Amino acid sequence: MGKNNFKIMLTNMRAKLQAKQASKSISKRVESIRIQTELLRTLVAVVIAFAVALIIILCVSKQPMEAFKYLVIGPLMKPRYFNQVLVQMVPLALTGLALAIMLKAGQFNLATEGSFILGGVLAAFFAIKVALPMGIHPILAIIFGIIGGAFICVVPAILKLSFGISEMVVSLMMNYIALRIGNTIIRGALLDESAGILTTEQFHETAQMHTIPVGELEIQVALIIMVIVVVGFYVYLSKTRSGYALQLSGLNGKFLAFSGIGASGLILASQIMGGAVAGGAGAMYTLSNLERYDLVNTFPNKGFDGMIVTILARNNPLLVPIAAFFLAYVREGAEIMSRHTDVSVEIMSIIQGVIIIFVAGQALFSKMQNKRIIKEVANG
Amino acid sequence: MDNVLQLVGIGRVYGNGIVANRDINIEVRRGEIHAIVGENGAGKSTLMEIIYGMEKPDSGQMFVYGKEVNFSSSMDAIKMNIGMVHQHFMLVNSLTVGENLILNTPKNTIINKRKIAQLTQELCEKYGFNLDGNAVVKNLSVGNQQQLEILKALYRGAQILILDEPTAVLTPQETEKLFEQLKNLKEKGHTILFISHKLNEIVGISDRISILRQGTIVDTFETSTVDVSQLSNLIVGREFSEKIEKPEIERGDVVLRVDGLSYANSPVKKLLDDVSFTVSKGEIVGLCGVEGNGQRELIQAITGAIKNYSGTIELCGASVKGISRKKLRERGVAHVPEDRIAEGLSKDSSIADNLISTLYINGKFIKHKFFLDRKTIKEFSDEQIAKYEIKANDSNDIVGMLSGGNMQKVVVAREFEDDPVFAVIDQPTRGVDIGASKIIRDKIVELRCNGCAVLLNSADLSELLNISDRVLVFYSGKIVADFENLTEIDEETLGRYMLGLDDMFRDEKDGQE
Repeated sequence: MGKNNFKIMLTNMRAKLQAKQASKSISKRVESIRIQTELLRTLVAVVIAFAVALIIILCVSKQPMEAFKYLVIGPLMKPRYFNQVLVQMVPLALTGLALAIMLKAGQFNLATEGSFILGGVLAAFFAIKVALPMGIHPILAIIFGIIGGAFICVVPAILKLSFGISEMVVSLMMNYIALRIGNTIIRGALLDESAGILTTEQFHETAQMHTIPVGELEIQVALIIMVIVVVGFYVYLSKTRSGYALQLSGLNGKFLAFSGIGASGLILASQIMGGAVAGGAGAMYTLSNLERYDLVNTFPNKGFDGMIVTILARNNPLLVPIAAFFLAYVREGAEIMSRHTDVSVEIMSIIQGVIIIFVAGQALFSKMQNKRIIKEVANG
Repeated sequence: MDNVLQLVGIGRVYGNGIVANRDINIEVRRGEIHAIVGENGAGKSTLMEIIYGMEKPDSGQMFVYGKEVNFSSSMDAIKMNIGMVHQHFMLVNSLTVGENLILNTPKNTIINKRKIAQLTQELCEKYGFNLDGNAVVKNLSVGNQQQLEILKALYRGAQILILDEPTAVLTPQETEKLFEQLKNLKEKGHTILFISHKLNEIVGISDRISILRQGTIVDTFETSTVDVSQLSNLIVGREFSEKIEKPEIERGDVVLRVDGLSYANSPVKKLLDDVSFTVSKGEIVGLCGVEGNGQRELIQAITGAIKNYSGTIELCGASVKGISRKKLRERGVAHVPEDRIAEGLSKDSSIADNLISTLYINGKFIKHKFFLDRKTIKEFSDEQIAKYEIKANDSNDIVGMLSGGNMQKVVVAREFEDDPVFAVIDQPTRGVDIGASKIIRDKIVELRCNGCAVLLNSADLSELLNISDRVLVFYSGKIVADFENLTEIDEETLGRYMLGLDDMFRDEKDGQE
């Protein structure tokens, strides 16, 4: 009886869904087929990536099932682990968003790594050298970091607009410049001579960014700011006149010029915005998670990881946090696995790589998608 | 008669979800001229590209000489004796005719100039063409370049020849010559697939006609069973008249004055040579000429894309030299560009977003200074969609998913809606189907009747003669004819001026020198 009812309910639901589907215009239906295919492609990519990871774990580990369990559900096992996922997610989402903003204007600006570094170092500088009351101190430190980040990302745009130099090359070089500027600042002004390693003095207590306890979780203020920035940028793109023009400049710059709108201002503005977000991300990461800033000679990769997020999110600002969460989750899972078992954390890079390959592979399922579209159009 | 080519259930969807072809069934017989007609965006070009192996179908089967084929590139199609002449020629401009002929043909590994010339000679004689094997391609006329393309395909053994809008760039005389050659080839047993928008040509030369509508073939029939007006009804799918209503109106003040305009991009060749004319309020001035005789440069100079010209261009008495596109628009200049996809549209944006790009700057559709007023934008877009009969579900549809004709209607709607003082309209109906062409032409005439000065450049001579008030013919950068009374001239006469055989002002010019 109950089973029958369930069946009827299911049939009803399906009929309703189909009716709803049919009432939509063809272009909307085609669009939804495309979105479904994208979802399927992402899902399959994730499944394959984990399958590959499992195979490798089976080969290298003495406790493969244990390791795989930690990898997949590790972050859910303790609130502390899940907190760590959220902590990692914030910089990923922000650098991903920064890249998305710049890509929207058609610029392949890869200087987010540099912006992230310089933003962090400048925030550290402010947190050590300036004494301010709580509340204002981190805000000003972040603003300082934002300015530094914006500077790094706007240089490639300026060079491109004035001399036609490829922004990709310049932006990659800017990352090194940012790294070295950062190190110079640390060595020259912030180094703690008494510490055994190359690191800065401790930040003022007042500069720390705090967390808000929610149940067993600790929500960082930075996370809340990240959500606001994402929503703000979405509104900017879809609702404002400047966002409208910015999108056009990325979609068809010639058309923008033809319509009588200057593109240079928009390109500059978008690179400043992107750099500002990446710089702010670096500053907030520093103030939320560190007490000292260690001198590093290699890239921390927080900015480059933003690229993975942007690709996963298909350059859609609203999907950026989801992609960032996913990536942070996988990383934390790998981290927990490596702590508890004999499998090393690098397995995460394999998973990431496989997912990117499949997500970027537009041809996957395209034939199936096209057949569905043909059928849909033939029917309607 | 046997089928040389058969397509069963062919479908093709582009990556962005546009359905170009669906369930196409067509049979092409040996030795026929088979015309493929349809509105723009109906999928003709995609279909031809599938046959020529440039596009892979997503569904269906294709048979050549009764054998199922699965082309992975056009090399496979060439091996099966299929040849194609593209709308935009695929020639190496810096090489000679003969060198282009033998390019990438496995028969010739060692190049010998004398042999190549001889080969060209033989081929020309065989097929009744007239080309010099040693001439460099960039010096050939458009008509001759096309002949070379056909000859190239034939040399590679083409039995089935696909021609994509071959007459779009030809003068009437060249078209006639082409048709003679096509008939000649038909007699030799070649099969020709022919795409065109010009209905009288189709009726004149084809044996059978297939009509494409919305990506699929709706009908195939013998040409002898229809006339031009029936054919146009069949293509559009409803009763249809191409006639344009054009009331006589008084010409007003001069809006555009071009005086002594010259421009050269190299010291040798003058692309514009002392061009002077005016366009007045309520007047449509047509520009006529074979492509590459200065019309494009003239339009570029007027719209600011070329700045280093000599002479003057004045709009309402003030020079436009060096002013920005934005200023030009503020002064009431509308522009329908030649390449609508590259310049006139953002094809990944919605119809609404495309309709407001030139209008929102001056404060329309804005609320609270920074935000777009989506509600009025939607109302405005829906209004334009109705007014210009843009076939779309709603204003959120992505422009790239519309057909070529409907894309052009979006451009025209945007450009004409801002009460322009002066409109530059470049190839408004090139590659646009007859239904959309009619609407666009009607709107151009309406614009003129509302007092706008219109400069119209078009390769379609009957369009020029039908809607212009005056026609200027360009030949090698000069105006060689200025026709005020258009009822007295026909396309043949225009053709003679376009080819440079006649020049109204020759005596004058000789006198000056």
